[in-house]
Amino acid sequence: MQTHFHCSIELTSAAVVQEVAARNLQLLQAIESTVARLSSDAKVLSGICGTFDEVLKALRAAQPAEAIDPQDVICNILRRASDAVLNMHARGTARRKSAVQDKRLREDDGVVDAFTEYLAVLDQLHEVIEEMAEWIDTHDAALEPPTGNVYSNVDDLFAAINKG
Amino acid sequence: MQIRGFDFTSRFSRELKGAAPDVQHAAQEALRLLQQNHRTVRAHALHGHKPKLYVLDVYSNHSWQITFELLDGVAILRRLARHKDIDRAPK
Repeated sequence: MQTHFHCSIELTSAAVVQEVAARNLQLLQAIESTVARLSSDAKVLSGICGTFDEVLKALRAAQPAEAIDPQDVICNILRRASDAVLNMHARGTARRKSAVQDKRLREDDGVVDAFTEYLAVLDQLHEVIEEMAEWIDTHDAALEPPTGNVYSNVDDLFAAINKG
Repeated sequence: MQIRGFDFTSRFSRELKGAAPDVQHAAQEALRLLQQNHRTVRAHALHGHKPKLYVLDVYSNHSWQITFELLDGVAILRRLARHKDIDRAPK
């Protein structure tokens, strides 16, 4: 919230009261819309989190016999999504800090709590996205056959890996 | 543990190439000592894996590890990763 109070010295007492009341109203509206927006975003993100959870459970139950993501397309998307969530978390953390420091806000305004809740959902979402990428990666890796060549010593092994 | 040779998966290759040069070098040395059955290097088996999956410490502080299966004396190298990543997904 970027609302700042400042009264002109030319204002009469009544005008000052009116001005302050108007400012207060603006602040209350800003508080209300911030809390509503954060709650709504947290709800949407929580829904996405639940969907990821369900898909992951279904994958674990199905244990597909074939590679899920042989071209690494899904895992790349998941990694990008994970980075995006981290960015959202960083921005949210900075805003929460700003709200904590904002002297116009009171504890029962709920702004800081709304940010805390929003950040907690982002944490969960990041965790489940990472878990899914790791699960798919691991699943496919476990199905991956080795090269079929046997290298009798470590130097030959590393030469082959570096050549490939 | 007698190791007559090594094979690897593409995940191991990918992780090795993605690791810092000092980790690559340390991994190479750890595998060399493993094959020599050197007393300073010991791999331990992880429970609940078939075929048996072994973990080898790349550094003595366990920060990086290699996992492998042992089939007919051939170590099939599966992963090179940080300890916490190996704990999460050893294969």
